[in-house]
Amino acid sequence: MILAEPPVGTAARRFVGKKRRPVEDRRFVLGQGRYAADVTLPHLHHVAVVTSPYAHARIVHVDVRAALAVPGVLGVATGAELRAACKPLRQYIDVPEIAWYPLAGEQTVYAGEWVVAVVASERAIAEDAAELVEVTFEEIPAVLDPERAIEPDAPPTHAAHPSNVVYRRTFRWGEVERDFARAPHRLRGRYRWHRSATVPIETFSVVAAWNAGTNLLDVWASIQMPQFPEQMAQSLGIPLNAVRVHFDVDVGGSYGVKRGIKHGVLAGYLSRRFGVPVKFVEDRLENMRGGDMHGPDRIFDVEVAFDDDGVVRSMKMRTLDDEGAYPGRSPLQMGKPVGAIVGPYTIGSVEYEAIAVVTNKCSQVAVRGFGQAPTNFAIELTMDRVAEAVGIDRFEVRRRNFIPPDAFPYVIPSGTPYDSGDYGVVLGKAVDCAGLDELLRWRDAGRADGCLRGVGVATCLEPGGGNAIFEALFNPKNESTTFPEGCQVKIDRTGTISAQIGVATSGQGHETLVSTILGEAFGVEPDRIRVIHADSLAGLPSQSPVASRMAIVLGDAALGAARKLKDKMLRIAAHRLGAAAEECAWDADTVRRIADPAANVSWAEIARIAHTAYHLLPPGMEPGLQAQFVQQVQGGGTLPTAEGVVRMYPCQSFSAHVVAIEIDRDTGRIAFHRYALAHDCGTVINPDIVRGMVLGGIAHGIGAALYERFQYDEHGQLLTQALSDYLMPTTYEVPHVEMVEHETPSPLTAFGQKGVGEGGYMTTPAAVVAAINDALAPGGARIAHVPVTPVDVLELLA
Amino acid sequence: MKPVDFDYVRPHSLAAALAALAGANGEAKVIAGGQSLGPLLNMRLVRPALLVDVNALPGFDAIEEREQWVRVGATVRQRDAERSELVARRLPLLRDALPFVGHAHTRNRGTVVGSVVHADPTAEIPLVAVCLDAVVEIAGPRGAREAPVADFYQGYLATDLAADELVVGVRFGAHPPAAGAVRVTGFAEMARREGDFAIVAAAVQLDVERESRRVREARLGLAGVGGAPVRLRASEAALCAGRDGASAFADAVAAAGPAIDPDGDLHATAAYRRTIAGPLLARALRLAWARL
Amino acid sequence: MSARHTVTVTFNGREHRASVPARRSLADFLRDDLQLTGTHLGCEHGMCGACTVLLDGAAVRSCILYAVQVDGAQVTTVEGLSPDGTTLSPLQDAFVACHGLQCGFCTPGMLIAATELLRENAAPSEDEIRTALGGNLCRCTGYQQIVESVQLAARGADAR
Repeated sequence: MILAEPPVGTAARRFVGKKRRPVEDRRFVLGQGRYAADVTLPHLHHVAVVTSPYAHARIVHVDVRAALAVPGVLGVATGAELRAACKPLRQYIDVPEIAWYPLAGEQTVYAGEWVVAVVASERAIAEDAAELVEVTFEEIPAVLDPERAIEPDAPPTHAAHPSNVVYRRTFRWGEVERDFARAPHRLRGRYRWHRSATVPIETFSVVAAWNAGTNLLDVWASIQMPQFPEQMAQSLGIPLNAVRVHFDVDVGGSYGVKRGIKHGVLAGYLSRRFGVPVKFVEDRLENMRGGDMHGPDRIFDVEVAFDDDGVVRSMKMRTLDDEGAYPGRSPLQMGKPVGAIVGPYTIGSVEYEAIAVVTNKCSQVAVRGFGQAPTNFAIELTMDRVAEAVGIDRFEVRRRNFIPPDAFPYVIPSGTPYDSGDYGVVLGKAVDCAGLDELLRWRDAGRADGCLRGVGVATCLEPGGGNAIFEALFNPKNESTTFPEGCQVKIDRTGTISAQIGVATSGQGHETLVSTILGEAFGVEPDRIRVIHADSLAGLPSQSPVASRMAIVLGDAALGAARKLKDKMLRIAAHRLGAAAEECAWDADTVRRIADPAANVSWAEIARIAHTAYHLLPPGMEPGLQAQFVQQVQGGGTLPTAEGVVRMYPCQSFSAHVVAIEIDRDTGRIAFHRYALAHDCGTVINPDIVRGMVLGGIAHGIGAALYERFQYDEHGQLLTQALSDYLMPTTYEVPHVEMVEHETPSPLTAFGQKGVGEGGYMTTPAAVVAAINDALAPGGARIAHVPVTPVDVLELLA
Repeated sequence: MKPVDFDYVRPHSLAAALAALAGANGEAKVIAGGQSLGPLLNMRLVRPALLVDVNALPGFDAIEEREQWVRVGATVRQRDAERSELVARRLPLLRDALPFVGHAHTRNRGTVVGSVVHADPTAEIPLVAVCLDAVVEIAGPRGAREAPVADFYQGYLATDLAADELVVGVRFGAHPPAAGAVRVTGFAEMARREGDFAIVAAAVQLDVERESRRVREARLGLAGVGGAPVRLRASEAALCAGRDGASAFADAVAAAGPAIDPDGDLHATAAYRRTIAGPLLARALRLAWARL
Repeated sequence: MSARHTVTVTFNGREHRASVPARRSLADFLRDDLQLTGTHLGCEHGMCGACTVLLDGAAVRSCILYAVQVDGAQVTTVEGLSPDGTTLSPLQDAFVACHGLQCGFCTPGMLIAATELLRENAAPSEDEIRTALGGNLCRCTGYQQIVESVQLAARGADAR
């Protein structure tokens, strides 16, 4: 998008880049956050669900009589009735045979799937009644392993879709075979990212209230989901303007997963069916086992062709993703990495095969990074193997492969231009921050004494901006090329500024982001600017805060609206001064006649005129001061080619992590000695928010690397449901992290800002495993999976 | 996750507590700290008709010492035991183990005796109880009785406590070391995260002659290696037989192997537990010895 | 079944009397009966710490405590940390100054844990802070800015 004015220069900045207390924080420390579970309405009823005990079974009979007889129960909904009344939830890939609904119908396809919903005056009573629902099941063979599922004779996950392969495509960009033939060396590796997710502390919560008087469904939900209102309306069979999703709900963390379509549709259906507002707050077991919020579960086979200097010429990557039972949006997580398929490296050609299979397990959902975290894991461990093969230091090999700083915009083989980057400098900053020389001495001294110490490095290309064109890439029926974000700004008659955004926030500080940018644009203290969250009827088009996109797209939307207003205000002032607009200019918050600065109109006066003094306005001008701007994702708007060449996210952030660990020989336990990184997300708007995002992503990455796994047994039962079994890192497991910033501005955004939020999670598992492998190297053992447990380590040391 | 509907009493006398238990025909559960029972209730894994809250029973929150033992009443909080000067002086092994038990906030509410009764074989307090030859004091409709803790434990989460009985206290052995000997303790644990239940834990208490460094009495135990905490008698004998305790460490550790029969679970294989048991025991021995 | 019990509890300095079923957790009582929704539920099995409150001054998990058990007790929730509901206490202010939170869901539990810590140890080391907060899960921050918040509060310095 070409802006009317050049980006705001660095030297002039008053607020962007400066420390500022995030405005959201105040309400949270006072305990005044308003989460979906806090919403209460008259006649509110509560939902509990009956879940399937089997990985795969026919549902022969459902008897709800005993449940209905429990005092306080308003009603019960079975899958059969809900499926008759609603349309299936959206599957983004082309699998109409797999019908996904909030409740199972004739078959249940995973243990934990929701089968019946009970509505009662209290949640405890709903649970009492749920226990009395009798469901008769007939077990059917299940398939649980993705490599088994891909075989033609595997038991089908869904009877209606006999093959478990729901997506398979091979892309070839560049001269892969030629580059492989010409390169003197090649190597192969297999990498396994076991199933985990970002598991927020708040489970999914939704309140749905159908108002028969207004034919309007009000929804409060803990969501982070594009087109949530659209998908609710579509499934419930009501017009989109009969759904009002309230985005002024605080969301207790999402990191991708709070999609909640089935929860929302279920609650909406129940509210319409029973005529009362309905609240459904997943309990932890419902969430872990049946919330359809699992994360990446991937097998990578990577082969690279490289020369004697360790420069990688070509790469073949095959990725197999175990979606669980209902693919939903999740297979697209093999599509987004296409926009960063070579990472930060000058790999010239790529063959990429993406395969999605369904199995009789809980479904995957979008997770932080949308597939880039496991992909980067495979790329970075591959680079370490290349370094080992040619006997060149791992840091040096990366430097040799980095896209050089003068090559931007750099178009990668699959079609995405990288906007800007300075990878070598950032790696250098990470090395300095880590004190690499000292770390290597520490490692070597320990090794001499038999200690298992290792130092690892990983870099990461973090795409930002959320051009979700992978929807079309993976399914040509998804013809959407518009991924917008809107902002409305108003200046009221007293001159105070308010802005409205159309998203719910889950800790990313959007109110702070927008008020900082508007403050910069208007020259007004950001704390005096109020930012509110619209609902889906009042709000402007939005693609939701996914994909590290809000600073990029919402930031420019806010600025776009601000510029429209400043332009209007200047014309009002000029008219008041009897001058032409070109003869006037802004000076802080006042408009002055350039030739005679004493002639001026104040901000307050402009606002007064705009709202109340129509006789002083330029003829034909609309009264008031309000502007909207809907920003299309920068660089977006084109469909992929038939060969899958596609222009994906506009901005590329970058980080380099250096990690030192020590393994306890007796127990296999891994302890951090040091964690350092350098990070580049272009222009930083709020330093504390950026730092928080990176550190939080690193914690998620440590969880994925060392602790977290959704583990199933051979019968398809989820063993890790309770938080005593699904282990998330605490203050003890996340080390102190040293971080330095570098800013390589994007040429595409108003302030040069790029995205932040996913990079930590995308980088950390690779860096940690790299360090573990360095510690194990003297013994020749190597790890290529996550999570790495002490049991794994001791088995390798035995 | 809400519990089943249950009724609740908080009696103010032992007789009333026993009457409530008896009247519930086996459908009552005792709640003290609730840190183990609460999750089980909320997950509906335990479904009592009646909850008998013992937190108001008078005098049950006392720690008393005698020459041969220290008695911890049923409602003594783990945090109070952790801060108790008496415990530090007379039950150093318990003092060593308590920081490993859950987190500070669970110790604010959880009780020492409750952990003994819950009988999780990976828990730290039962391990200490077994090492110190604790005696469980039980009240019931058939009268008061006592059970040595080794007899009390009957397998994973199982004890010989009847549904109408109540543990009123636990006596931990605390006889003074022999003349000329000093008592040292060590505790080592491997858990997946700090504060989690142990995969394996090792507890060591040694009474060591100051001059000769001979071990006069040894109490060694492991948790997480069977259905109940395991007392390592052969290892203890090896330590006491050695001229100087430190030289017998290897023998003591080797003797532990045949004494254990660990199971595998989600968090660790049986082989892993077997592999780390020896090194953890050695670590606890070294920690204790370093305090001489 | 569903016998109700009368409990009288002082919440944030105010006495309340209510009739509750025995199985209602203290957390649900706070949230649903008293509309003190600052205390959050993340797991309902005592593992995440989001529900932490002060019970007679000690930090405890309110999801595995039943309201009937706290008759006669004093309970402090996050809503009681501000002297007047508007002014931030020094601890609350430090969390804002250091951005020791993002989504805010774990924050009430963190504040209660930090309150107990600083009352017992006015100058905690980083290790002591991490130990005191070790039972409270956060998925947003990676803990570091939370630790810095507590350090700032302990220093009693004016917020940056």
